[in-house]
Amino acid sequence: MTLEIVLQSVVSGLMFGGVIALVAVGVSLIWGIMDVINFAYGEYLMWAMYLTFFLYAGAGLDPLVSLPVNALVLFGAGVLTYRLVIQRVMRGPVFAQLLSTFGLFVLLRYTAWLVFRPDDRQAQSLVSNGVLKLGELRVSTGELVAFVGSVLATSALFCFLTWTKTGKALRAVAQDREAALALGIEPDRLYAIAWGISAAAAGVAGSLVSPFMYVNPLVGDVFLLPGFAAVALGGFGNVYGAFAGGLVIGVVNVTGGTLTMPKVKLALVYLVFLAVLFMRPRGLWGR
Amino acid sequence: MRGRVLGLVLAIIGVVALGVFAPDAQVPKEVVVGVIIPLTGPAPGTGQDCKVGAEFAADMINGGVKAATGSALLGAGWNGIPSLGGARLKLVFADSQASPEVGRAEAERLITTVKPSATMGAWHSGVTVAIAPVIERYRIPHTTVSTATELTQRGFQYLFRVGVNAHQGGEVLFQYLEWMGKDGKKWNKLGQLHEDTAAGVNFANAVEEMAKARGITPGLRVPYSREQANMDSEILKLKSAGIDVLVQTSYTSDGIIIRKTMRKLDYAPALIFSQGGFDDDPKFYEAMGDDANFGSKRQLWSPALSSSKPILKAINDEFKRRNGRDMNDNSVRYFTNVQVIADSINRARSAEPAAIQKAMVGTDLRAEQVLLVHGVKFDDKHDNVLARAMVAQVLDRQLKIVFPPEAATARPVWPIPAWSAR
Repeated sequence: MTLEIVLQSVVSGLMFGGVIALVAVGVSLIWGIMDVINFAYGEYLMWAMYLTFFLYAGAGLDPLVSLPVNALVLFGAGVLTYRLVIQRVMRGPVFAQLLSTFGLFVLLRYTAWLVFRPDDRQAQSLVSNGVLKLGELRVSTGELVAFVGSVLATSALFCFLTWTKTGKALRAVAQDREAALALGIEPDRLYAIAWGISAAAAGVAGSLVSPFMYVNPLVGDVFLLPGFAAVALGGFGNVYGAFAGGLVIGVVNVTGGTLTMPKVKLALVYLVFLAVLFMRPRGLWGR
Repeated sequence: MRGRVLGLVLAIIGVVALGVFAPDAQVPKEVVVGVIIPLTGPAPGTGQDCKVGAEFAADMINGGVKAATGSALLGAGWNGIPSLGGARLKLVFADSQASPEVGRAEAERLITTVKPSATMGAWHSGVTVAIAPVIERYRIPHTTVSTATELTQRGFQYLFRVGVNAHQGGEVLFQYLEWMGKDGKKWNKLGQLHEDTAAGVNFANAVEEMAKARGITPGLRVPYSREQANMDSEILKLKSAGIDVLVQTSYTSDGIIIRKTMRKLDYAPALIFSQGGFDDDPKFYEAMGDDANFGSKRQLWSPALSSSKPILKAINDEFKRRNGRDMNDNSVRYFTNVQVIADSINRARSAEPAAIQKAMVGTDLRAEQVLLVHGVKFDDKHDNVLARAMVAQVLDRQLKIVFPPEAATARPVWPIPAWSAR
């Protein structure tokens, strides 16, 4: 195996990891602020991909053009999920929270199955088929756009959490809900915003992957399982750690598969994940 | 006394009346055949091809395809099943969704609710493996074109394979390589890339076995699971191993991701050979455009063979008039499935599954009676002993026969041009 092949696999892994990273960021945001695991997150991504497809097939919108629409619709869906489901179970036992997002997962998946049938569908984009050459290294334009989009979306979230009043309030609620309440911060409103932002990240990810990935009712699993591994790897609740974890997962997946056998690449991902948890139970960048 | 005579006369009339009317009451007006295919899921285009092929054949059996009249095709000129007084053939479709679990449940539902005389399907080998025990349990004669060799190795009495098995389909690859070798075309390493369900695994096993039997050391074998967004490591692995004859088994969506990844990573082996699947599906050609070119596949039919079988063109023209596209391997194989079942029903003179199964064992259709390049005759395992294949290459987005030479309509492009040279 030549150095060129290994380098190519690292670049490919980073590109793939960018998408996983955005999914991980969305999952991690809710975990960090509310200590709730959203098992339905992959289904948000799947519904976002369907929305992208139908905007493409029905209105001729390129997935990148429909990205803001996707983000807004998914933001609304996230807020609605919080108001209708999560808010009601927040004061219940942890199992109630777990089961509610699991129930949501089943509902969203099988509603899609019923409505859309299990056909594979794919939107085409201006960036679907291009290839960029950087010396001997090659990147598809679709994957590069997805990677850059993921970096930009995560940076925007960073700015929001760091410098805006609402972002600071969100972090305050995450640190100590009762103290934030005593300071006049209304947690319910902030939780709803957090669910909205998290779902909007799935909307953005759905638009970004659509140029190179087909959608069917099961597609959420393709991204969510590595996404969960990235969250745990980066540190539960650490949004930036989750992003870095996503990149690591991508590289382990592609480079690991290339150096060993591609069939075991997912096993390698979980092996690294277990090894990190064994040595650092809070993840690589956990607090 | 007169009363007794009258009673006797009435009894005789009754018996005669029963004799006259009973046979009519036993002859069905229609014979139901169940078709289990992937109408939704990852291969809906493939399922649609199978569906229209089967419907076209049923229409011919029922007298609705005048273009076939006068030809040697089995069922041409029929107006229903002849031995059943013209009983019409009725197809009832069930959607396997390309899932073994769904396929099995649908087979059970179809058999218990519709009560078909025979069934066919399910295209995906993995689904056929799942439904075979069901049709065996209910004793329904079933035809399939699934290629997994293992299907006919398990002693099923009611399962019949109309098309090629993995070994018969792989045989043509080695004949083709030998022929190309005589023409001075060189290659170094044979490798395989295949999805990891029954169709992919069986074909890869068969190719490995046949390669070893010919003294060829099989190179890298890369199985993969279909549900994934990134195939870079699979292609990089093949590229770094220097595989220049690639045997590929993929379905449509994964086939599209693989071809795009090959282009991205600049991997162009001298030959890509498949047993069908992604490259039979119109959606592959829509998604890939010119990037679909130069792949080769095992092919079982071509309208270009009409010089030896003139009916092919007329039938294909009629099919195209109705469906807006040429027949392909899938529509032709399901057309043949219907012919085989109709022939068995006709020879059995019955719509009873057990009688049809007995008749199906004795099937002997010559190549001119079907659209396939080969006839249909079953061995004791119910494999088709006459099955054989050709090689087609995608040139200008169309499948053209390149081997054997007597059937060829185009010269093969070897090696496949580098991506940068297209």
